[in-house]
Amino acid sequence: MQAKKLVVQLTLVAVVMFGFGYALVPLYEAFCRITGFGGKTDVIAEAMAAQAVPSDRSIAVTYTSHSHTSLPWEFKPVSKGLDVKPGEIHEAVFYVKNYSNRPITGMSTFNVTPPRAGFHFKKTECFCFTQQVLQPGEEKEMLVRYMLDPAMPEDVLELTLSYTFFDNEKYAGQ
Amino acid sequence: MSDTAVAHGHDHAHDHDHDHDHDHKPTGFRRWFMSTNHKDIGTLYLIFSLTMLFLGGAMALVIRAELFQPGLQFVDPHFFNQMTTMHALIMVFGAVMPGFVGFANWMVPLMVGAPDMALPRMNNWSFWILPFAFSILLLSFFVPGGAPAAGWTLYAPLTVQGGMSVDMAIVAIHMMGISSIMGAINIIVTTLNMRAPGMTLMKMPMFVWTWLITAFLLIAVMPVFAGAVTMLLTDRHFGTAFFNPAGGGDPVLFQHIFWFFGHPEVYIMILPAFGIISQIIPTFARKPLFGYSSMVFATAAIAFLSFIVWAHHMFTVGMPLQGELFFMYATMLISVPTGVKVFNWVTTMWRGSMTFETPMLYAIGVVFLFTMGGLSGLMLAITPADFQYHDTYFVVAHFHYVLFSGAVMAMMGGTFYWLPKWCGHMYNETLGKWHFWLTTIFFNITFFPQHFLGLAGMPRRYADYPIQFTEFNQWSTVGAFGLGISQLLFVYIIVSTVRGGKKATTEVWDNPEGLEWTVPSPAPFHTFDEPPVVK
Repeated sequence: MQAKKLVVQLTLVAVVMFGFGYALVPLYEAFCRITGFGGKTDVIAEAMAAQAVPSDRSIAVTYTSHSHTSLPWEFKPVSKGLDVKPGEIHEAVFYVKNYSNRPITGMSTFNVTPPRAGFHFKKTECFCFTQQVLQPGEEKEMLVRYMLDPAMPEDVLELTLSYTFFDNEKYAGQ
Repeated sequence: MSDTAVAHGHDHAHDHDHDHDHDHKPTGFRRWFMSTNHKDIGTLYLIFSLTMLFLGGAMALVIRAELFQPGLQFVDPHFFNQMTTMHALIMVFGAVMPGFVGFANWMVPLMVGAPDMALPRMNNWSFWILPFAFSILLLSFFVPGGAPAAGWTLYAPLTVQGGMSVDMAIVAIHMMGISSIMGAINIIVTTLNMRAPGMTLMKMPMFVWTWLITAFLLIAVMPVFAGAVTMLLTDRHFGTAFFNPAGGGDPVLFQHIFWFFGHPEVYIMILPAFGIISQIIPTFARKPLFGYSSMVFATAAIAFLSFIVWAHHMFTVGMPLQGELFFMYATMLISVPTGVKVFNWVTTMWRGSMTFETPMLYAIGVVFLFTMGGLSGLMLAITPADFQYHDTYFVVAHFHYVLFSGAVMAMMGGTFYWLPKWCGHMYNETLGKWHFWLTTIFFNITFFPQHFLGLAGMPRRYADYPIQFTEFNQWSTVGAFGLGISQLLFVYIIVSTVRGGKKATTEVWDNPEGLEWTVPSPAPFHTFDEPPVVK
């Protein structure tokens, strides 16, 4: 009987560890959000951003963007980037066009390099991680409003915002 | 093949030498397919492991043949990648893990004085799942696109895109995982509940201790791996996006989950080897194991640390500096308990009346060569150095030093050590020594040059290389073929020993310690029906 109890307990441990594998997904998400690990960025309200006190140093921000090979879209930043003072609110504009003859759902991922700058990159508005449907031949400008946190580490002199659009048809409507 | 030869020989030897009245056993199909006897199941595991060793070895020889010269000679790069992937999957899950489970099945009940494993029917299940799992894995060679070719780590997003073979590998991994977890539960219940009266935990033989801790590791991490491949499966077919960036997933997350399993997994493959070595050395040094309790705590410490070092496999993936430092220091910390073990083995030998029978040669070989693998591991743990060594042949050399000359050679030593107990005959000592020296020398010819290749920048998992790497690769290929062919001698020794030879005594060796040496050789079908008393 003692053996039976032990078997049940050990089986439970195995089941719990299977669940733990899944729990690592939200844990990892939370970890990335809190630490900015992997270039994850922070979303804040416009009103909060407006209260920030601009500092007088400036950081060179570069915009890059790619469209995944499976997606027949053109996707490019309207300007290459600019010098940004932490605390100021800026807009980055990206141009996107569907060159195919069918409507396609795409979704963009987003990343900041160096990763340690990610946490101090505050977005108030962004088109990333939401599904975007483009009709055949449709072109669009997409907007990101952001602010660099004045607490950005002193040694960050330049940073890169990178967007990649993926074909999201497989997940359309979810 | 060798399967039937060994099985027959075994049967035969038994009928001949051993016909106790109470020792009757089923024969043929009933005996081997429906067995619940820990010794028979142990034998099945060991034969399975040896078969897989040859299969995985043959794949390694395809890899080495292709790398004998720069350029493409024998196979196309895609098939080459299938070879590296399948070689690793088969060796890890088919040869090393079932091999150690075979040792556990045979030896744990004998060592703790139990009549059988605690859950004999489940024991039968956990073995017989394996042939089916590996059939599925091997059948993937014949589906469109061939076998998995993304490396044994199955990194997403490459495996999110792969063909049907990835699904077959996932199913096979689930089955192997269930098999290992059942095996682990069985070992834990046996060691915790069925020890002979008087055998307290701190009197258990080291092999039983290492397996107990390994079994806990298995239960903790195999399900995590099962979870990871399930996420992969749902990403591939059921519209989830755990790892697929197109749906907002993160491919790096797969690496984290994989290595959260993967690092404890490498200790699952080495701790039982430590256990075998800790049994062999005291016997042939004729001294008790030095620092028994520190050995137990060192094993437990290694097991604990294995959970907090996983990201050292992915230093180059991009991590905050603090993360890199944490994983670097935590990894280096492992060398402390491991160093304790090596120190204890050496100290056990110190001023012992040593003799150098084949098992002892293997034990010393493992201590020496495993330590080399440990030291190259320490080099890899240094984050900035790892940026250069990552994914080069230096890593390949490192993990073969710990896995071949650690795990596999420990199993070979264990086989020579316990084979007389298993089959009742002494093996041919001269041939055993030949096998040791051939294996050790060819192993070093194969893998030592790979350190240099890696330091010079040759990346792993490519079918081709620039010409400046030719000479070391040729050394390596010659060594690999020598190493492979030498293993035929291993099979010959086992088969001929099972079939006949000098009769082994009950003690086999010179006054060895442990309950397994109190039962006759060969160990009867049923042992310890009356529990022995340990003082």
